[in-house]
Amino acid sequence: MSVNTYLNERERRILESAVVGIAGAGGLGSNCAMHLVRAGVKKLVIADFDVVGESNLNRQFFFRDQLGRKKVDALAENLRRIEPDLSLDLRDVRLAPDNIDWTFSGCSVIVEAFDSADAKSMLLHALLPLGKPIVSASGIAGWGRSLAIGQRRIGKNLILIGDTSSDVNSGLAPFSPRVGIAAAMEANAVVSLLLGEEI
Amino acid sequence: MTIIYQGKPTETDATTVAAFLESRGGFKNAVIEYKGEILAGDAAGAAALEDGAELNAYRIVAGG
Repeated sequence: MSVNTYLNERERRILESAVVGIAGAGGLGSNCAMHLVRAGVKKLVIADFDVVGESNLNRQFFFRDQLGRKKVDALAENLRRIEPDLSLDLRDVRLAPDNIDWTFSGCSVIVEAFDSADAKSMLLHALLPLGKPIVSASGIAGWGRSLAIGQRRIGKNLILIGDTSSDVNSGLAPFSPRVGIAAAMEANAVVSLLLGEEI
Repeated sequence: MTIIYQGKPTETDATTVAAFLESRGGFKNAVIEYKGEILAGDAAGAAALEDGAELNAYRIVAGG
């Protein structure tokens, strides 16, 4: 039984058997994972080294009573509130070029959900040679301008979501609505990729 | 030569993708798409520019 009762048998089988990697369990990763589980994805590899902090609660899929807990553990708990029957491979690790390959080697699709530009760039350059589909986000800070959050396919394997300019480092804070839109678009792209349809 | 940079015809004397992008402010934290393919790592520096080729650079900025 899938939490998503609207799936037909083919769609349910594809989404349940896929393994999706989530690199980072912050604003993008926690919300993207939530959407994927609600869509019917049951197998996730989630990697993050951080703990839930006060400043995370404005946009991330965590709760006040989870402050101080490892994000991967708190997110697993929340995702299992939606769908208890999940296969979650939780990696409490700081991703780096020497561990990205084996962390996500079993994944069909990988979601880039980091915060810093350097980390995003490092991850993309480590993942792209693997030849797997990657869904990434750049330019999601601030508020308003919802329709500026675009989606484009770059090369064969990269889907980039965002306006590529709204930068946290330029004084714009990450707010739930815009980060949430991007996280939902990341999940939407993953579902489409898995089902073999237009993103 | 003339290349198509960010969708617009652009004159340049640069002979490599890296040299061209450096003349435009560099390409740290950017995804480089050249002739429909992503150039990652050292490939971005080594690729020779060709007349009429399409080049796009997408900025990777912080936020998540």
